[in-house]
Amino acid sequence: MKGGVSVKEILEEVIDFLRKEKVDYADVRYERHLEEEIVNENGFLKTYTFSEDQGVGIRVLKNGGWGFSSTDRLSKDNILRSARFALDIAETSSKRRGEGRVAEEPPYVDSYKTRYEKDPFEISKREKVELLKEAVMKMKEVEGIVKASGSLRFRKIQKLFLNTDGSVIEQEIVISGGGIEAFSAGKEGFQKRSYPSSFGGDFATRGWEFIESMDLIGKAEETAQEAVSLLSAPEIEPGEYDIIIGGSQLALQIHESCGHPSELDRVFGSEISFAGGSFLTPDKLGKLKYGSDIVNIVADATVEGGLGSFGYDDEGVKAQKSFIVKEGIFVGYLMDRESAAKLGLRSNGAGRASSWNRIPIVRMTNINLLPGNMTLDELISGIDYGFLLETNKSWSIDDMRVNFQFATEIAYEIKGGRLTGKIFRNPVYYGTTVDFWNSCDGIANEKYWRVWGVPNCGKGQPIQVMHVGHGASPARFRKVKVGVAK
Amino acid sequence: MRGENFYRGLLRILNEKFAGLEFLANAWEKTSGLTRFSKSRIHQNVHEEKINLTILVTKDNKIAVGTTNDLSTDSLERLRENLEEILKNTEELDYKFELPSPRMDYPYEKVAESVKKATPEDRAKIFDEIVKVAEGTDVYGYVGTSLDEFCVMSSNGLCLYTCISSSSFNTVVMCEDGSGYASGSSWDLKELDWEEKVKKAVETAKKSRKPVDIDPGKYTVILSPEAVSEIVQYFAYFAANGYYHETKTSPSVKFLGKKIGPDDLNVVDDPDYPGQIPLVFDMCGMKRESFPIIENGVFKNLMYAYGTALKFSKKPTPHTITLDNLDVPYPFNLVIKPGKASLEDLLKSVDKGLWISRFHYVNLVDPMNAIFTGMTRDGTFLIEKGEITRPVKNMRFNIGFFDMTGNITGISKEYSAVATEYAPIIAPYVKVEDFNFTSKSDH
Repeated sequence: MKGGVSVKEILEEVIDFLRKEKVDYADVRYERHLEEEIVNENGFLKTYTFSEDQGVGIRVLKNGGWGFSSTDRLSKDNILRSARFALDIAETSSKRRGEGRVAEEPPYVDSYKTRYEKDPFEISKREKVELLKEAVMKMKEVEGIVKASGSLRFRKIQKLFLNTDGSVIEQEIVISGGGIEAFSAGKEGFQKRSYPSSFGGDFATRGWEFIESMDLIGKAEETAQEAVSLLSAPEIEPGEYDIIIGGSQLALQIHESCGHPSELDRVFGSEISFAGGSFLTPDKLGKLKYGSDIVNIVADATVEGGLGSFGYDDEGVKAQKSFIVKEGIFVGYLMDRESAAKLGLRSNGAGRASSWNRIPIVRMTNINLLPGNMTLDELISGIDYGFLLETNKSWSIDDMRVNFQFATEIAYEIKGGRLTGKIFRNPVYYGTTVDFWNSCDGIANEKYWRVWGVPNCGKGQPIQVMHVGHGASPARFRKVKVGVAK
Repeated sequence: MRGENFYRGLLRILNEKFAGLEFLANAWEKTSGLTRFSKSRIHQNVHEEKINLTILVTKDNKIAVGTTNDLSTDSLERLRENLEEILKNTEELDYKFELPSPRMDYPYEKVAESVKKATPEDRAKIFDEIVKVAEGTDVYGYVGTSLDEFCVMSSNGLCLYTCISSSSFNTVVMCEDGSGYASGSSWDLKELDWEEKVKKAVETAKKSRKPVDIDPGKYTVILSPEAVSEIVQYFAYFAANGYYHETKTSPSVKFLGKKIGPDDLNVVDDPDYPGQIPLVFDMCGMKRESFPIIENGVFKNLMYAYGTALKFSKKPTPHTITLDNLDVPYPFNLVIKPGKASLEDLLKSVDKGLWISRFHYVNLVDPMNAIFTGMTRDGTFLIEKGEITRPVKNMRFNIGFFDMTGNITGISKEYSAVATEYAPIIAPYVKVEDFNFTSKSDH
């Protein structure tokens, strides 16, 4: 509330003003973000941070030109000034052969709230600190561990969205996540194991119960022991092997080699100067054999708890599920309203902004490899000699999303259809997207399937860091190049 | 632009609202505009105004950090309540924390009117010119301007103010299946050197059409300033990082103090270097001056953020980038100093090798040995008998940073300011032997 007028009333006034200015389309978003992060290192609290951030972003399309203005000065006068500025910017753009347009959408008057059992912001700070400390101490107590750390992060995003279509949408998204890491060090350097995933752990649109379900304390000792064992483990002799990729690593493989190339704005060149383009040109739609027949990939913003789940995207499009790859064939893109219009289609709800001060662009929601029909044992039993690779350590892919290389924290040896118990350090595998997905001949079933959260996907200029999800279960790939020539 | 007096007033308010607590605070206001273009059309055009106040409070050797962009009385009181609750529910740090010593300095302003008064139309006019220079091709990129006011304040008397303007651009020029890249930065929009750079990018795009396949392997390469800056930036962040060194997770454990490259290899963090956009103090208020990281080929110094320095009894260096995590250092004004060779002579000296215009998606494969991977993009060429002869398809490299520096056989006197998310990186062309390419792409 500013000066007795609610934010909603101000935003309504903005929309009225822009309608009178005869814009092609406009939307206005108020967002308030609460965040909390706790980091423990070696049993001592390293940081406990709290942040609060709010503001309004106004996007205008006029005569085919886009303009966007954002402000955190929330008086009515200032927000209206910002709206006028967005209009000016749109007029400047329209003079430069602006050809922006948006696909049709019905108006929605609705609200959405993440379903959770325990609001993480209502859990006492002491409880969070103590849980993390205990998990970290359990790792630190293992002989050979030189550093142990853990983190918890929570976020509550409140959004109010109005557009000239007549939509009025309120949303509250709650995110919880965290993880632990153990480091061992010796003459040949250091090794690290992370649980449940690396780079901060796993995240979901759920409450404190998600943290409890990860059982960080219960998994701490095993995580640390693997870090110590890795120190004396051998490296894999470079060559071609049959491999199984575990869920958390496969999530990142899906992210880089399925999610990003299917973003339609990349295909049209919006990101060429920064994040790059895509090999998935429209002539391949419905034709390209992207993967083997068992590969089915969907964009699904409706999965309960998925980090990329919401009620509506940031263009007022209802959350939905659509196929990107069906029975191995590339059949669909991730689209916002602008890119969809270029193909004469409707958006599939992938127009997302990282906050009030950024425009919505095409982003992943939950990009999921649907489960197959095998057990993990069945996948393993089909390998004469190979490896099960788990937990991402490094990633890189070219600007058209073709040539990739990933490193993982650990490789488990498979011999004669069984895990031998022997582990290998510093595994690296590489390949090209279409060949790789066509080499997939087994996907584990629903029992092994879960949605992994990736909280740090970067795209756009100015940069936007987005939270997205990837459903995956372990999958088997034949004749993959493992190890790098030095 | 609010001006120094606004921040002095803010410090008075913080002293009142946070009475009884010691604090260190950063206030940063950004007013920026960015015009983005794709296929020679403006497709995104944005403006942002935002202030952030981050405050670190300490009591009984505990710390808590809070951030808000709402400077109202209610908000600051709520922030204090939250931070006090954190202090109440946490334990003492494992090292003795104290606020940075107060120091006096003049306010520092380097503000170009061209940026201060920049309008969307000003940026669009540069876009118009880029399109004109690149006629017959398609251009993709951005032109951006930003005015940044920054103040470090503390309960023990720090109040340091700076205001800097910046402008930057990048452009990918596409011509059939060929592409070229240009980027630049300047504190003054009028001095942004886009014209010559875009002309070169057009030339590169035209020359890089119809690339041929070559086998991966070890090649002599000439790396452009864009490629050099990308790798050295990663090196500085991972390998010259005091925190990683002290926790024994950095290659600096093996290489610090060692000769790692030729005598003319010098990497510094220097706010006063020509072409830089200076950040004159870090987030803890430490004065920033030229800081050698690699000197005459010797890996000379590590950056110690404030918290790491306190924890490991080291002297902090002026590289603390955030109060949220006092172990993170960053070289805001990175410079790879030019050498004495001419680019022409470097090129002539290559019998068979590759010209690398730009890297894409560089990442660390093995942190302990500083092994990086990444792809080439936007113009990779075969060099034969001292001349660029043919474009080649993109390839992936895997290389140890210290193997690379040990194989440097030439550094050019020509250099360029490469645009990054923050200040530019100044870098020359560098000739490296035995650069290891391990796989190839299809474009």
